[in-house]
Parts: sequence; C-alpha cells; structure tokens
Amino acid sequence: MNTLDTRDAVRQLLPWHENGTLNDIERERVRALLATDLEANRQRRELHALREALIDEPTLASDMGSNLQRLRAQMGPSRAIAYMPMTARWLAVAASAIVTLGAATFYAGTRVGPYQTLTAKAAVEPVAADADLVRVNVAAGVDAAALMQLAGDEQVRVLNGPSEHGVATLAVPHARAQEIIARLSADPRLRFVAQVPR
Amino acid sequence: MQSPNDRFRPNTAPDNAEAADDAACLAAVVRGDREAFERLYRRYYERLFRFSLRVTGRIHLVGDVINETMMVVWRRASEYRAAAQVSTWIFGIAYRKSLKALARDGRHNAEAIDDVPEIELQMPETVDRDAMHAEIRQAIACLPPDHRAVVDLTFHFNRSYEEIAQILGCPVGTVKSRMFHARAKLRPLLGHLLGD
Repeated sequence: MNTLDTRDAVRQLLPWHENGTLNDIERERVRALLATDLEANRQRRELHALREALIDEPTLASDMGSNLQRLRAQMGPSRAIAYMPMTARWLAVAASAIVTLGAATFYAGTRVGPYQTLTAKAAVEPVAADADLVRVNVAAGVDAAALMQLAGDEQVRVLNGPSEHGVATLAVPHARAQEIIARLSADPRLRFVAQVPR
Repeated sequence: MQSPNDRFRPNTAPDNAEAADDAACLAAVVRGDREAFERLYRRYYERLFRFSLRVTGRIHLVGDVINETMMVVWRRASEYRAAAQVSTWIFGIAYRKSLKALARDGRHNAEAIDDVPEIELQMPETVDRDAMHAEIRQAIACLPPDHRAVVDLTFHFNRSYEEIAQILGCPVGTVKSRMFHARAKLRPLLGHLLGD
C-alpha cells in the first residue's frame, strides 16, 4: 500500500474520528494525518457540519402513548396466554406420538417383556396334554430346583418362576395333581398353591 | 480519550449503565415481564422514531416500524445473544423493518448509487446556521436508505463502524464504502455551504 492509499484509508476513518468512536491506534493515525493533510482537514470541516446538522434536528417523535396502546393490543393479555397455543401444540404432538407408538406396538403384536398382548400370546413352553398347571407362591429363597424337590414327583416341571415376587407355574401330571397340590400346600414355605385352568 | 467535538455529542449512544439496564430488561422480557418491556419501549421509542424516519423518509411508516420492531423484541428476546449490545440488536431489527416497510410502501429500497438522482443544490447567497443545517438534512434525505442509515448512525447515534456493520448486517468495508459514497454525494453542497 503506497502513501496515497494509506492516506485514503485513514481519511475513511474521519467520520468515526468525528463521533469519537475510534480506538486509540486509529485515532492517533487520524491525528497524524490531520497534522499534515489539508484535504483531510477540509473533509473534517464537512463532517463537522454534517454532524451538527443531524444533531440539531428537532425531535419529531410523537404518539408514543397511542402506539404503545396499539402494541399492547397486539401483544395480547399475557405472555403465558400468548404462548399457550404453542404449548398446546407441543402437548398434542406428544400425545399423538404416544398413541401412535402404542397403536403400532399393539397391531404389530410386539411383546414387551414377558407379557402378552391381545394379538400375541406370551411364549410358553409346550405342556403335555395330560398335565395340569399349578400356580404357587413361594417364600424367599425357594428356587425352581427346591420347588421341584418339594413337589416330590419326577414329572413335575417348573414352567416359569419363581419370579421376584415368588410366583411360579408348575406342570404336574394330571393323575397325581391333587396329591402334589396337597403336598405343596402342606409346606410352610409355600404361601399359595392353586390349580390353573388350561 | 474523546473526540474534540464531544460538545456536539447527543445522548444517544448507550452508556455502560444504560446498556446493563437494557440487558436486565431484556432478560426480564424473556420471562414475560411486560413492565420491563414497556420500559425498553419508552427508552427506545424516540430513537427508533428518528432512525426509522431517517431510513424510510416517510413519517406514516414510522409508527408501524417501531411497533413491529418492538414486537420482535417481545417475541424473540430469548434469541438475543450478548455478543452485541441490546441497542445494536434492536437497531438492527428496526433497520430491517424499515427496509421492509419501504418495500411494502411501493418503492424499492435498494437503488444502486448510480440510480439515485443528483442532489439539487439550493444555493442561497448567504445562509444562517439553521438554514444551512436544514439544507444538509434535505440533501441527506436524497441519499439511498442504506446510506442514510450509515450517516445517521454515525453522526446522530455515535455508533462505531463495527456497530453499524452489526446493525446493518454487512461487512465493515461496506459501511465505510457507503459512508464514502454518501459523502461524495453531499460534498458539492457541503463545499458550497462551507465556502470551500
């Protein structure tokens, strides 16, 4: 950049030297220019007149009260109410998403965990036709092996459980079902024993 | 250090205390505080009136521009980022609203510099100070809106060229260029009035 370009670049800062917003370095550069450059001084006088003319302009602002009144009407009664439609929209979107997800799960027959839906039965082990189902509720510490031992019959099978709540389902031979139920019921570690209709 | 011309400095550029209060008011507006909003409205009404009138040159547009600007402040206060002063953000909104209002009003606001008619000089033999200022203001009114905005933000609102660039949403070089062309347009009148 030659001297002429530099002078032009500094002259471009004159308006902001006039309004006092230049930083220290820029201000020093402008001052140095003004000390030697007649054209910069002429431009400075112009800018000074320009600035005076704008500052001297009478204030025209009026009708603030009525304009504010108009704006209040546009703003509505309160921010909360103004934003309510947006909130309602979000709630509607969330509700739709939940319903859609539920419907999709239902009709797809997807089982969530060990539960069955109306369209998909919970998976169960095949049980022999001549076996009865017995539902038991055992005390803590009684596992499937102990349960089979308590049943006292080699053909008894634990289909599921005991769950964390102590519930288990057994398959027992139909011919000895009552006998096995009576044996289990007599044991204090079993709180509940009942035959389940198939 | 301040400019030697500080005696002409109007109280339009926000000082630190006012800038801090602006920020506090805006934070309250985010929470839905109408009193804080109306405080901002009252503080900025006159400034926006003047700025919008300078940019549009049409007084019948000004009320709507102010209210549209402040409605944006009310609705989008949460979008304000503290990188710029609140006043810079508000003036930026007002500038865009002013240009839109001008466009709606039937005159495109982005004339090329070459399309702007030459300023007709009223050349009185002698001019007093008030008449001279009126002449200058009339000449400024003949500039394109974006040039008028740069001139007004510089000389009335005492904004730095960086702030003006933020308000107008353009590079600093564009601000300087607009100022250069505005001054070139005004030079014949100013030269005459100053006896150069």
